[in-house]
Amino acid sequence: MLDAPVLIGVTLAVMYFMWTDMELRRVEGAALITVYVLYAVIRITLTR
Amino acid sequence: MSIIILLLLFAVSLIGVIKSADIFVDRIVDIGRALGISQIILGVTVAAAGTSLPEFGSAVISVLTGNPDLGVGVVIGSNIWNIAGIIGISAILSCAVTTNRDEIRRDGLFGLLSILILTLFMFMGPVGPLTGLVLIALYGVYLWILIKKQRGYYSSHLMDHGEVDVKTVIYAITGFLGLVVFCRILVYSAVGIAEVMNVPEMIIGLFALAIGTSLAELVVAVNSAMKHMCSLSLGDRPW
Repeated sequence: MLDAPVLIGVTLAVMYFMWTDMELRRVEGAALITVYVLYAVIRITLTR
Repeated sequence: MSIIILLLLFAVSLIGVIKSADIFVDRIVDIGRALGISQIILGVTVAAAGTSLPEFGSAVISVLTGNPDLGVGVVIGSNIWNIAGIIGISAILSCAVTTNRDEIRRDGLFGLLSILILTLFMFMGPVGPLTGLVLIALYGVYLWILIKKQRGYYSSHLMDHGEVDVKTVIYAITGFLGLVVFCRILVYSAVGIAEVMNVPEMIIGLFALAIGTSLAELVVAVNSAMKHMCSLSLGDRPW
């Protein structure tokens, strides 16, 4: 149940970041990586 | 089988899958060019589908060998990793990943639409042939739009025609067979690891297989980011 919302969320986030100024900056990249790490931790923890 | 042997098998088969896919795609392009297949079709299909061949192969083999969770895990996990992980790493390593509004509209909307359709069908029940047909149709529309867009580029960049030699065909067949065999070993070792570590197959698919099969994209993205060819990192992202 977590996978599809995360996938939709990160897709929308990248589209929004890109749409605003046609660039994805370092801080936005760091935010994406943070979201991915959090998702991995939560997903694995919930499964165990 | 011990976990060390399984991990070793996983690593070796992963390298084998990526290398086989690379050989297969290269030779198919050579053969297609020699047979006079349009450069537009070759360029678009190889760019769009060629880089995802390891994910595609391991997902198909997973489903065919009775491990659908692993297959679904690879597909969804690869998408999340490609968008959040690879694009994120590219942005951190480079100046900034750039794009244009046309790419966001086309690639972003098609990516989003395919996820929404898949999610909708998953909520309605088991994913069946109808879902597959709808998604393949959507992908066909996406390819058609890409081909239309690329027509101008290829008409102004004429490419040389080659000849199909036996060596190229043998390489293509070897690449394809290698892809199938290594994908089978990869799935076998992934299922083994899941059993030994008592982890659901879905988790192995979502993370280990998804990140592993996207290693080639990661290398391309990191290289292009280090050379400040930022838009290449986004273009490599297979929506």
